[in-house]
This record gives sequence, structure tokens and C-alpha cells, in this order.
Amino acid sequence: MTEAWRQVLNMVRESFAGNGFLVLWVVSLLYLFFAEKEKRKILVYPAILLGVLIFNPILYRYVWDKLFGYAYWRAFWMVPVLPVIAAAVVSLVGKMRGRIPKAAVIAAVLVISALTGTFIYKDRFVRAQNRYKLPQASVDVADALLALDKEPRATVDGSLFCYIRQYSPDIHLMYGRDAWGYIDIIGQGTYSVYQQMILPQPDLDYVRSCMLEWNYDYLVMLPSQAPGYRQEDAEGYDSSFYSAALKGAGFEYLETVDGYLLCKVIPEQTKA
Amino acid sequence: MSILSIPGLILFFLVIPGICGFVLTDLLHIYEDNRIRRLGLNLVAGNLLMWAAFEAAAVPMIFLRQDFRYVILLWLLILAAIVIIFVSVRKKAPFLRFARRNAGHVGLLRDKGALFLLMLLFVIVGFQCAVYLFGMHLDEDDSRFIAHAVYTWKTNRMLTENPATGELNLRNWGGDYLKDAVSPWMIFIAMAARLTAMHPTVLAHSILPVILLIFGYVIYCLIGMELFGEDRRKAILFCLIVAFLQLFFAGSTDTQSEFALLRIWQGKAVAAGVGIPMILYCFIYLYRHTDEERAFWLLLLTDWASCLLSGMGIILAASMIGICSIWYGFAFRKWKMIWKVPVVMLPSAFYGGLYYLCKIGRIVL
Repeated sequence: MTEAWRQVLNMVRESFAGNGFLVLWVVSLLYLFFAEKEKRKILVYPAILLGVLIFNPILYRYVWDKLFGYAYWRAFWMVPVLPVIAAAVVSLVGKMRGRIPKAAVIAAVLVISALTGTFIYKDRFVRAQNRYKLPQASVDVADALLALDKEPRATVDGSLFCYIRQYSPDIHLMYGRDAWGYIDIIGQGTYSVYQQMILPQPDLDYVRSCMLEWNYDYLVMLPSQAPGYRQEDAEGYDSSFYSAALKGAGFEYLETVDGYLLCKVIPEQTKA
Repeated sequence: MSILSIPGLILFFLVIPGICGFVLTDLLHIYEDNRIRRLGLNLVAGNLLMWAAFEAAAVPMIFLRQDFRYVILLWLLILAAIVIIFVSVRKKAPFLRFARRNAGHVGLLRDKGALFLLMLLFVIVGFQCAVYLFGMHLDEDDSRFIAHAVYTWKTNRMLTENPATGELNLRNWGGDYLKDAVSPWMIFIAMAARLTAMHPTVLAHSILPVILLIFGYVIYCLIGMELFGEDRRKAILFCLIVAFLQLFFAGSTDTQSEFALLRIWQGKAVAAGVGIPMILYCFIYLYRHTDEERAFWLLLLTDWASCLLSGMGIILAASMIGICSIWYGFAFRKWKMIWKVPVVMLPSAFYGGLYYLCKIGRIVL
């Protein structure tokens, strides 16, 4: 049971990290309990009951862990944190007289919540780059692939594979987010290609042989992964460098799209 | 999005839910004397009915591996049947009309304090909507949800491909496939995209979040109205404070507001931003009015609609309804309600049971 307690406390601590809303919630419940007899039955007691049952190590061990698994923290959504705080503020303001004290109380609560909390959009939203709200590079790479083939089969860099198929389902990828252990079980062979492609210098011979075996035609990779690439000489590299470097590895360099090298597998018989 | 999408958007997000909501609120005789609350509830309940009807239509079709177009057809038929039965039984058109004598009576316009608070609410909610409209939040879960919606929209196939790669997957569904088969919110997005002539990614990342966010705040307004009665200033202030607090209820990536304000287009986030507040509203309505019959139907509908959203929607709805019902039974000595709880939770039990039976291999797909 100690372990269950520890896990519940950890989850609560992690879930409410970066804001003081749990404390505000408790304070609000206490205020409503003593100041609003009418709201006890309809808001305070149900909120306490939800809190007691959800932040509960015994129920965590026997119920919530089995129902929610790793996502036990989503059960916390059932606890009406914001409605209770808001109801307490409205109730407190309702009992006051005069506009200035009311405005002061509201402002104080909002400032406290803003200071103890974390602004939700901080580092989370950027200006949209296109109407799909996808990284422009993924849209441009997808367009370049679709210009080459009606239904291209490609192996793409890890920074792109989550977005390309949100743009067009016509592009087939060797691996996507399944390489990170989500959605579906990835095959060992495919995973070994992914493991190569996250290396600074992947074994392109191996990648190429797998692509040929499984009928993938296009490879989208970072310039730094091209054979012979050296960071100190990077400024001098142009398409002829990439063309020669990739040809040696069995790929035909096609173009650079938004900083990604787009190349095509050269079938065995014509490999340089 | 083209100009052709605008009539589709109005039809899908306003006319159809408006009609469905009217049917529900009229049948339940709910808020007959309060047009603001009724309008709000119409909008939310209409959407919930659409979602529940979609869950009823889509899940069997997915399990039978039918064409996506049949799901749209079946969904439209279910909604049409509901409206036709309503019109023939009630002998009235499903449109909200108010008596002429009330037409000019908008008390809100005379209440400067309430108007000021309402303006502030519009500013905060408008800011949150603008972030969704003009900003971009990248979420890797979309490589499952939105990619699913996009290929269904394009190919008319449902859950036959690995959304991450596009490879055909006709073998037994496991893991996330099974969750999506039981809670096909992404197929609903595909349908909305088809009916509004929009790309699902554009719809999901720009239009849908704004609509869902507004639904969420309509529900918070309804909660405020139930908590503070006819005092509209308090009701608006309640919603205003919730809207403001949401902006700072972050720090970890786990909070309800994180899901509501950053990625509400995903099913589990709809559960956080719309489903759970709706269940809370239903219970506050129930506690306030001890009106079991109306609350019963609203809860049943919310539970059913939550099943469409995600596996988490199924569990959260059932858990919250269970806990709050037990409280209601004890606190108000309404023991009968406790016996009604299993009926309200029937959709969760059915779809949750279906998922479990598939998972343990008792139902082989």
C-alpha cells in the first residue's frame, strides 16, 4: 500500500506541477463549505467525493490502475478543479459590497492564479506555416514526393514521419510513429532501418538493401547523413557533392527540399 | 477550405445540431421558460446526439469492414428518422421559435455590468479561438488520429491501414486499432470533412477546435447559470474565471486545460474539454432540480457520445457518472437513481465490453 501511496502522490505532484491550482482548489472547497451552505450538496460534497475516490491509493491499486494504466492522471480530469475555484470566487465577490472591493478580489485571485500557474501557450504554439498547420518542410517534401510518383513509397527522416501522412495518405512510409512504440507493432527489420536512420552516419548500404527488398523507392534524409559529410566543410557542399556521395551509396540525388535530401534508390544492376 | 465549405460548415455545425438539439429539449421539456439556457443546451445536446448516433452507426460498420460512405448514409438516416418521428408525433417543426411578446425582451442588453463581463469573456475566449485559428501546435498523436481521418476521407476505407505508414493491415486489430474501432472519433472527423468539402487536417486543426472550445464554454455557462440561478452577472463571471484559469492551468502536460486548449480536436481532449464538463453540468442540473427523468436522458446521451471520443471517454464517463450518481442517491435519498445508473452507463458497458472481449480474443475480427 505504501507503494500505491507513493505512486498516487507522484502522479498528483507531476500532474499539478507548475501551478498552484490544487492548493487553490482545497482553499476554495473550504471556503464554499463554510460560506455556501446551499452549494455544499450540489458542488462541494460531490467534488470532495470525487477527490477522495480518485486520489485514493486503495482504489488506485485495485481500480484506477487497472482502468487507466499509465494514464491514471487522466482520472484527475473528473475532479472539478476550475469550476470549484470559479464558484468560490463568484460566491466571495457576491457577498461583498462596492465595485472596487469586488474588482480587487477578482483581480487578486486572477493574479495569484497567473503567478502560481504557467501560461498554457508558453512555447506550445507557433505561427501557422500553412493551412494544414503542419511543418512546412513536411508539406514541401510530401509535394516533392507526389510530383515524382502517384503513390510514392518512402523512408523519411524522423522529424517528418508524424506529419507527412496527415497531408496525404497517398505516401507510404517504411516506418512512422510506430518506430517509437505507438500505434502498431513494428517489424524487427523495419525497426533496424529506423535505428540506422537516426545515426549521424547511417549504413546506407543496409538501408538501401532493405528498401529494395520491401519496394521503397525514395529516401528523405538530413544532409549531414550523406556519406563523407564533414561539418567543418558543410558550407562548400552543393548538389554535385551530394550527388556523388549518394551515388556511391546506391542512391540518386534528386533535390534538396527545405533542408532535406530527397533521393531515389538505384536498382542493383545500375549501381555505380 | 473553399467558399463551398461555408454552407457545409453551417449545415454540419449549426443546422443539424440545432434541429437535433431542438428535438431533444422539446421532448424533455427542458428550459421551456428560459430561451438563453435552451439555446445553449440545444447546441450542446444536438451535437451530443450527432455523436451518439455516429457511434451507433459507425462501430458495427467498422467491425463489418464496410465502406465509409455507408456509415455516412446510415448516420444521416438515423438522424432523419429521429426528426421525422419527432415531427409526426409532436406535429411541429423542429425549429426554435419564441413568442413575439418576448422578442424585444433581452434583459442582458439592459444590464451594463453583465454586458461588460460578457465582453471580457468574449475577449478571453476569442483569444483562445484566435490561437487555434492562427497558431500551430504540433502533436505527434495526430499521426494516428488525423492520419486515420485523412485516409478514410480519401479512400473510404476504415481502419484497414496502419495510419503511420499506410501499409494494409487486415489482420486482427491490436492495441490502438482496437481502441479506434470502438471509439472512432477520427472517422467522425473524416465524415465532417467529407460533408463540409474540407481537408480533414485543415478542419481538425483550425475549424473544429474553435467549435469544440465554444461548446465547452457554453457548458460552463450552463453550469454557472445552474449554480447561480437567475443572476446572470454571476453566471458570466463564473465562466469568465474558468476561461481565465484555463490559460494558466498548465505546467505539466497532463491537465484538463492542456488538452482543451492545445489539442481539442483529438477525441480524448474532447472528453476533457466537452464530455466531462457536460457530465458535471448534468449532475449539477440533477442536484439542483432533482429532476431525474430529464437528467437521466441527458446523462445517457452524454455517456453514449463519450464512447465515440476515445477509450478514455468510455472509462471517464462511466466512472464519473457512477460516483456522482451514488452521491445523489445518498444525499437526496433517491435510491431509485442508483438503480438507474447501470442503464445510464449502458453505452459505456457495451462499448467497453466489446473492446475487452476483442482484446481477450473472445470476439475475433
